[in-house]
Amino acid sequence: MTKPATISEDWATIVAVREPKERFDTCSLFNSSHDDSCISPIDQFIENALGLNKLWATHPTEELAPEIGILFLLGYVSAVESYMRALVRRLIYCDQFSQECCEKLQLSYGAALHHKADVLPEALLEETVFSGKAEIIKALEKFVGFKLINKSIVDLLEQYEMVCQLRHCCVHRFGKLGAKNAIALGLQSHKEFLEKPVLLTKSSISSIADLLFVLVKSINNDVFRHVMQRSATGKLKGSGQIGIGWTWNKAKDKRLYQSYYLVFASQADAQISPSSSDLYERFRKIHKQAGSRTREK
Amino acid sequence: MVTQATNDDFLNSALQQRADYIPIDELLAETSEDGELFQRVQKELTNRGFRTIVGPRGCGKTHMMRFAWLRCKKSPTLPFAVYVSFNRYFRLEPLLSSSAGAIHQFHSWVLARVLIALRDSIKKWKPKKNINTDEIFTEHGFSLNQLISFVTKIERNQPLDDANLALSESLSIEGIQNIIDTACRYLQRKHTVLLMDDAALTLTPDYLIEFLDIVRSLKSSTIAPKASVYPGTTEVSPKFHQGQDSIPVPVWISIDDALYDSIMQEIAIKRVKRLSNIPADAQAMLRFASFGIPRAYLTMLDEFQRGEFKTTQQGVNKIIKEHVDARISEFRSLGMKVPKFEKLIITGEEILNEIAKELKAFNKTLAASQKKQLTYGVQEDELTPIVDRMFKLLVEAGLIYDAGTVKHGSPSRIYRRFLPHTSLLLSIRAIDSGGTGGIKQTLEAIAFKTTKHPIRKSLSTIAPNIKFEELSFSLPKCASCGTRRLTDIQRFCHNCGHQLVDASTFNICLDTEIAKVPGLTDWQRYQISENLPRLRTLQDFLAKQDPAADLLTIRGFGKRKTAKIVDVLNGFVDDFLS
Repeated sequence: MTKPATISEDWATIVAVREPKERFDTCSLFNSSHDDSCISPIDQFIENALGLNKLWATHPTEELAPEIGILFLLGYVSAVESYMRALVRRLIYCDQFSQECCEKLQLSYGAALHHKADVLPEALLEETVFSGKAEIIKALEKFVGFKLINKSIVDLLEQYEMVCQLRHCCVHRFGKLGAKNAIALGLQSHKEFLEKPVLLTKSSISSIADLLFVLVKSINNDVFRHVMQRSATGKLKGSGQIGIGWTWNKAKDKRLYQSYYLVFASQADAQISPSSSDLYERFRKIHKQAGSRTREK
Repeated sequence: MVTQATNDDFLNSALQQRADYIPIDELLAETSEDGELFQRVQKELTNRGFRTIVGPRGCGKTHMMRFAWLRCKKSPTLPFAVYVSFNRYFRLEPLLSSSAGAIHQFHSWVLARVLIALRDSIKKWKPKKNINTDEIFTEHGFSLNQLISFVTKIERNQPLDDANLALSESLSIEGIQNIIDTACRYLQRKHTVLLMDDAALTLTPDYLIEFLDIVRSLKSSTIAPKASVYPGTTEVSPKFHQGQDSIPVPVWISIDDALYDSIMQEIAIKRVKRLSNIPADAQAMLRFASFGIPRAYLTMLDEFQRGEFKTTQQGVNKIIKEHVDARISEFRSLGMKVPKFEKLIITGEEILNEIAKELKAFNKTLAASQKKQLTYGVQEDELTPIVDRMFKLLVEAGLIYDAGTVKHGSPSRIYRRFLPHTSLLLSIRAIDSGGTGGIKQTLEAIAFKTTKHPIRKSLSTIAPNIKFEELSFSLPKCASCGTRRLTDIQRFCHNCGHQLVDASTFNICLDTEIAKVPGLTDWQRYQISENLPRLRTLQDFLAKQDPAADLLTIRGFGKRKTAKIVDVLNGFVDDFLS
C-alpha cells in the first residue's frame, strides 16, 4: 500500500525483515523426563508410527495437503531409523555375540565419560546411518554379526531404498525429484518427473507405511531368529562350549531368556507377542537336542 | 479279546473309505473300472495336456489319481507318473500373518514337495538299469535330507535356518522340470504326468493364486500337470483361464446319470464285505442318498452293518439324517476356517434349505401323476458374482450339484440348474409317492420320471428375508480396537491406526476337539475318546512330534495298531484342515 520513502538510499533491502523475538536455546526443547529403556525397539517403532497413522487414517478425504504428505514420509523413515538404532544398541548391550563383533570398535572419549552403560553402545552408532538398504545390511553385519540373506527381506529393503530416495527429495528439495535420485530410481522411467514435486495421497502414504511396518517387523523376527539360534548353537571366541549356557531348565533359563525376549517382543502391536514362557518352550523344544549333544561331547 | 477285535474293526473301516489308505497293491483289485466316466478320466490323467480334475470331497479324485499312477507303473507304453499331495497346505497358513515372505516360502514348499514325490516315484518304479536315485538328485544339486528338513520345518512352522533358506532359493521351476525330464529319460518313458492331489487350497486363496501360477509354469511338452480341485477353484485367479490354460475334467457323477446305480453298486461290491447281508432296499436308499460320492456310500453302508437297528427303515433314516448333519457342519466349519466366507456360508445354508422345501412342495403336486423333480433353476442374472460365489461354496462342499445352464426361449431367460443333496431331500421327505413315507414308497418316488423343466422361481421369492444385494464378504475386524474394516484392501485401521494383520485361523482350528471333527462316525468318536484320552484337540495331536510313541504307552497297543491309529487320525486331521 505504502510506497517506499524516496529519500532512502538502501538499495539492498529487498524484503522486509525484523530481529527474532528470542534467542534460540536447544536445552529447553528436549523432554528430559522421557525414558524408553523399558520399551522394546519394535514397540518404540509402533508407537511412533501409530502416532503418524492416526493423523491421516481418520482423515475423511483421499487428498492430503502436499506439505503434510512430505512430512509423513520423513516421519516414517525416521521411525525406521530410530528402530534400527535402538535394536542394535539393545543387542550390543545384552548379547555376547554382538559384543564380540564390537570389541574392536572405537568410541569417543566424551561418550565413554558421560553415557550410562546401557546407552553407551549408542555412541558406537554415531557415524552410522540407516537410511538405505546397503546401510542397514552393513550395520547388521558389523554390529550384530548377522548376514541378511532372506530374499523376501532383501526385497523389502530394495523398496525401502526407493522410499529413502523420495525422502531425500523431501529433506533437501521440498519434495522435488533431483537428478541423483532419478538415476537411483531409474532414469528412463523417471526422467519426465525431474524437478517435479512428489504428491502423496492417503493411499500412497498408507502403502509406504505398510511397507515400513512389514519391513521392520520382518527384520525384528529375522534378527530374533538368528540371535536366538546363535545363542544355542554358535561358539564364542575362546569358549569350549557351544552356546551361551542354556541349561534347558525353564526356571534357570528364565532371566537369560527374558533379557532377549524384551529386546524383541511387542506389547503395543494389535496382536501382542506370545508370552516369553510360550516362546521359550518352543525354542527349547527345537534346540535342547543340539545343546545336549554338545554337552555329551 | 472281544474289544481287540472291535478295535481292529474300527480301524479297518475307518481306513477303508479313504483311498489314501488302501495299500497301493490292493488298489487294482479294489477298483471298479466300469463306467465310461472312469475310463474317460483315466485317459485324461495320462495324456499330455494340463487337466484339472474337478469334484467335491470324497467323490474319488484321490482314488482316480492313485489308480492312474499304478496303471502307468505297470504299463510301459504309458507315461512316467509322479503323485504328490498338497493336503498339508493349511499348515502354512500361519505364515501369512507371521512372515513377509509367506508366498515365497509356499512356492518353495510346493516345489520341494514335488521333488520328494519324484524321488518316491523313481524308487517305487524300480528301474531296470541300476540307477542310484540319490545320484540323480545330487547331480541336479538337491539333497533329499535337506528337502525333507525344509518341508518338515515349514509344515511345523519352525523358523528356517540358513541352509533351509539357501535351499529355498535354489528351487526353481526350470530346475524341477530338468530333474523330472532326466528321471523320465532314465525310466524310458516319453513324458511325465504330474498328479497333483488336494490342490484346491480353499482355505488360503493367497496361496491358491500362486499355486495355479506354479502349475501353469510347470507344464511343458514333456510334463503334463493334473491337478485335483473343487468346483470353482480355478476361478479365484485372475491370471488363470479354465479352458485355455487347462481343461476341466468333472469326476462327480450326477444322480441323474443313467448309469448312476450300476457304477455306485459296482464300487460297493468291490469294497464292502458281506454286502449281500444288507437289504437291497436299504442299499438302494443309501446309494441314492450318497449323492454320487462313493466315500459317502461306503461309509453309510458300513454304518448300517455296524449299527444294530430295530428296522431297516429306522436304520436308513438315522444314517441319512446323520449324513446330512455331518455335511452341514462340515460346511459351517468353512466359516470358521475362512472368516471372510462367514456371511456367505450362513446365507448359503438358508438358501439350500429353502430350495429343498420348494422341491418338497413341488413334488407333492407331482406325486399323483407319478412324476418327480430334483432340480431348481436359478435365473442367470440373479447369480451376481457374490451369489455365484455362495453357490460355488455349496457345490464345493458337495451340498449342491451344479447341472449347468440351460436356455428357455429368449436369451434373458437363461437358467443355472442346481440339485440339492439327496440326503437332505430324503431327510425332509421331499421325495414321496404320497403314501406313508416308508422306504418302499420313497424308492417308488425315486424311480418316477423327472418332469421336463426344473422349478424356476426367483431366489428373492423363495427367501424373501435375505437381502441379496447386501450380501458381501465378511471383512475382518481390527485386532486392536475391533472395528470392522471398510474395504478388503485397507492396510491400517481407520479408527485406531493399527496395521491390519489377519489373525491366523489355523491356530483357531487347532482348538477343535478331535471328537468333534465332522465326518467321524459315532463309533469312531467313541473309540477315540475311549482309547486316546490324552489326545483331545487337534493341537494335542499335531504338537506331538511322534504321536505313535505316546500311543504305545497305552496297554494293549502294539506297533501295527498304533501306526494304523496314527494314520486314521492323520487322515481326519488333514481332511479337516484342508
